[in-house]
Amino acid sequence: MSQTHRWIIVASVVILGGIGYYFAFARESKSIALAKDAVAVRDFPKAIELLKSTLGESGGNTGTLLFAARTARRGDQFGLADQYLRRYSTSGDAEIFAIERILAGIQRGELSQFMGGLRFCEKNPTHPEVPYVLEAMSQGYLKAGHIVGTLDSTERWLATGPTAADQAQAHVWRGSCFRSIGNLDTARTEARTALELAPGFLDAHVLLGDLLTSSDPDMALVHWQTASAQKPNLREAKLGIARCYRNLGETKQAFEQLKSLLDADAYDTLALIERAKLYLDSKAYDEAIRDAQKVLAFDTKSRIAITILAQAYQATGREPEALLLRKQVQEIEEALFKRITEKVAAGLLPAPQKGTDLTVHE
Amino acid sequence: MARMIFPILLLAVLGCTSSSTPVVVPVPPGRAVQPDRDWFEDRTAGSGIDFTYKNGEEANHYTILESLGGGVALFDFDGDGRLDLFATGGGYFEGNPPAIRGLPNKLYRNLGNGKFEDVTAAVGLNQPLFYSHGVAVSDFNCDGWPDLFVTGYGRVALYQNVPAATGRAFREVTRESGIPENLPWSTSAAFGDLDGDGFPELFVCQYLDWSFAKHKTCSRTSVPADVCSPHAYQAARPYLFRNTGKGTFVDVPNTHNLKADGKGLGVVIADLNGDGRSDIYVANDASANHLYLNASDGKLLECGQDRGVSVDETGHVNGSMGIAVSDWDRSGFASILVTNFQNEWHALYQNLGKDRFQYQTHRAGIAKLGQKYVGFGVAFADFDNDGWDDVVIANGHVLRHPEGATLAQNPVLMQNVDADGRRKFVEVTPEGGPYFRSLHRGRGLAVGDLDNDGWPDVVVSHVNEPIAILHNRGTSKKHSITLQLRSESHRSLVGSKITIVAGGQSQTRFLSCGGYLSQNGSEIHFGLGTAEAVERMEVRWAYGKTQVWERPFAADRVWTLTENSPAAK
Repeated sequence: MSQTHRWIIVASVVILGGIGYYFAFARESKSIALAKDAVAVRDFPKAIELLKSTLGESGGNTGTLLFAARTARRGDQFGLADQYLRRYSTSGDAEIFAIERILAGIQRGELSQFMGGLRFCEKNPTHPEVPYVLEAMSQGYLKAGHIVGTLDSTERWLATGPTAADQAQAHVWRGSCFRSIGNLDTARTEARTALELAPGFLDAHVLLGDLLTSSDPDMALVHWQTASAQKPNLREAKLGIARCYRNLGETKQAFEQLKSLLDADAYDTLALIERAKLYLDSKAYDEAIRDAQKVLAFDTKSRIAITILAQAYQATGREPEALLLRKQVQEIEEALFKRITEKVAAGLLPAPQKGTDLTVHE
Repeated sequence: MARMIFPILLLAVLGCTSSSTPVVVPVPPGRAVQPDRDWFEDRTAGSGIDFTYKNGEEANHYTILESLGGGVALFDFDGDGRLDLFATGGGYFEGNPPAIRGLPNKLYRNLGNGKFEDVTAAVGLNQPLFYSHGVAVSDFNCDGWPDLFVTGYGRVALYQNVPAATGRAFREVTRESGIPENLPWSTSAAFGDLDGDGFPELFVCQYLDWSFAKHKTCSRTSVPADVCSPHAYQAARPYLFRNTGKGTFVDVPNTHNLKADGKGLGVVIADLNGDGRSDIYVANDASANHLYLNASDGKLLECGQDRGVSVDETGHVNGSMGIAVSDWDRSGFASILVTNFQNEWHALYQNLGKDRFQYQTHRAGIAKLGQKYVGFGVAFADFDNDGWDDVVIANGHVLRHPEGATLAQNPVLMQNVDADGRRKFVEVTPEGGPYFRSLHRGRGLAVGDLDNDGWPDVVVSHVNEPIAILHNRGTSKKHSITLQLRSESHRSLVGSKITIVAGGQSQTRFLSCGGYLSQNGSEIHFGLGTAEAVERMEVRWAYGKTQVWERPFAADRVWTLTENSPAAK
């Protein structure tokens, strides 16, 4: 082989390698860019899929690994997040590694981690990690059932100016909090704000559908159907649609919706309760009793199942049994009252404060 | 007016929109307004009735007293065959510390042709003045003339209908009747014979233990002051006055074990379980509703919970206000419709017979209204004369700054329609007419045929907004028949049950007294659809026999049926 040929081969290898490297790098860059786009709209499952194919089983640069770990954690895939984080730790920043581990704990609702997160945000308000900390805290507080903490951290998170999708998510979480303390009007406002920010946001449609099912069943049906179109097997949506049909007096359609749920799971307690109500409406008392009893077999303290059973007994002349069941409902209510009172005392639910909501002036 | 497991939490963050002037409600898409097909026409202007119930809110004390509003009664006080109109006037606050003052009530004589004249002073109803709410009508002394009972804060007044040089007049007889003038806070009242002696007893709801000494205002983040919920006050026991038959009444709370845990706002007396004796149903605010069934020994037995009419389908108490009774499903039994607070459904308790009721709000189409309304006066009537009772509801918020709803709200009109062989109510509010397409602060409501044209009209009292006279335009060619029940002894006939058969179809009405601060006309109206005659009429007189008239009775006229008389005129 002549010198010339050798040079041609070397040059070809270099050029082909360069081209290959260029295309591989470009493809990886494109995948990461697409993953970032998905994260911007909080489509974490899509982002994770893209990152998985890009990063493979080993290697990867620290930036991409951290992005992947964070994306998996934000999408509640804690195991995968941990794998990427360990790969990141071999050459990444130890402090960032530690923070990300703490954020995973916070996001899972480990209350012991919260004060550190809050102090970090207060001490370093402009630190780029702050939005992630506050997002994780919002989720963690929500999972821990800490309403005050969720409202406070979402408010702080919103103040950092996150993306429209992140803002929508914050409003949905806030809406869930307000719903859980019975402040339905504010909850609806939060859900509507979320939909203004992100019109197709599934969670917002689900929340608003739920919040309107009783107050405006026509409008609720639209939200549930939108959610169902996005995710045809979404159980919540099917249940919501059934409830709307019942509220609209469309018993037959309500039964049909519940049938598909109960075909998939004959012991779906929520669907059984809804069907029991429909049977009660239709004066099919034996069927209502059967469904309510099925629920009680799994959940002996189901207040609504006991109430349905009492109504069915009352309607069929079994007054003494109905009376006993009503007493049982009263006991359940007393226990609930006690629990809520304790939660208020523990600061997990808002308490009346002078000069703010709920103040009674003598 | 608010149902809460945990009141403090559920009262959270209220405040925002309010409206003091009528606002037009957008008509839902696909439902174009056709004014020529409107069910009702507002004929207040030019009627001679220009009267407003005032609640004194301009003083900004934010008292719960301002929440209730006033009522109307339709009754023929002078026996001229036309329904006259009585309305309570409310009151205001004066000075500091504030004193609670009353405004005049009004009686309008029906002159015919849609015209009325104010005869309040002429008939002696201009005194006493007190902060008034409700009205009930009954011939308490069985002399053949309807008397009046007016409720309010710290005062009630019983007016006896007496002869006068100009015809009829009223004389206040509260003190001599034995009814304490200074009942604490009386809301709705109803008369009905509860012991079978022919003389009507009087049930008077009491709301709660508010006074300026116990006054509270409630603030929220966005609202510095607003009216507090009823949870801020204790319930007050109702009064039941037994009619001695000698022009006097005796308070008999212990005889019947009346419950003192309700904050009473509405009451109806009617035979609710079909045993021929009058029963009492009480709508309580933020507490369980009460059903007093009249037992064979003359005692009243409260059994609302056992009969399924005290709470909603989830077992929770509601903030209940208005009550109406009807055989809406032609079962022959008296079902009960109760209007409730925002975030609650109105409750339709379907009567299954055998003293049993079932919550049927959903299947009957009532839940479709949603939960945005604060419902007050409610009435069943066959407004379209198709033979099935429809529903009208007056709505309006009690909070000055409500959240998730408006202060003024549109009234609701629901038509009773066939839905695959069962009955269901469908909202036809936009077709109700301009009044129904606008927002109001509705309270008391009464139904009666003001012009004797065979189509029931509606009168609504509002808070700080003039009374509305809604003329039923009767846009179809359907027929009706109107019955008047009489007894030679002028005994109370509340509790009677009337069944007719027309075109092979039977319909039932229940003679009742009461509602939300108001009283419907006492005539019994049946829509007949295309039937031009009634084939059979049956009256089961309260505490009496069942009487049957079997022959064709021409439609589109008034028939008088007298107890124990075979003739029908």
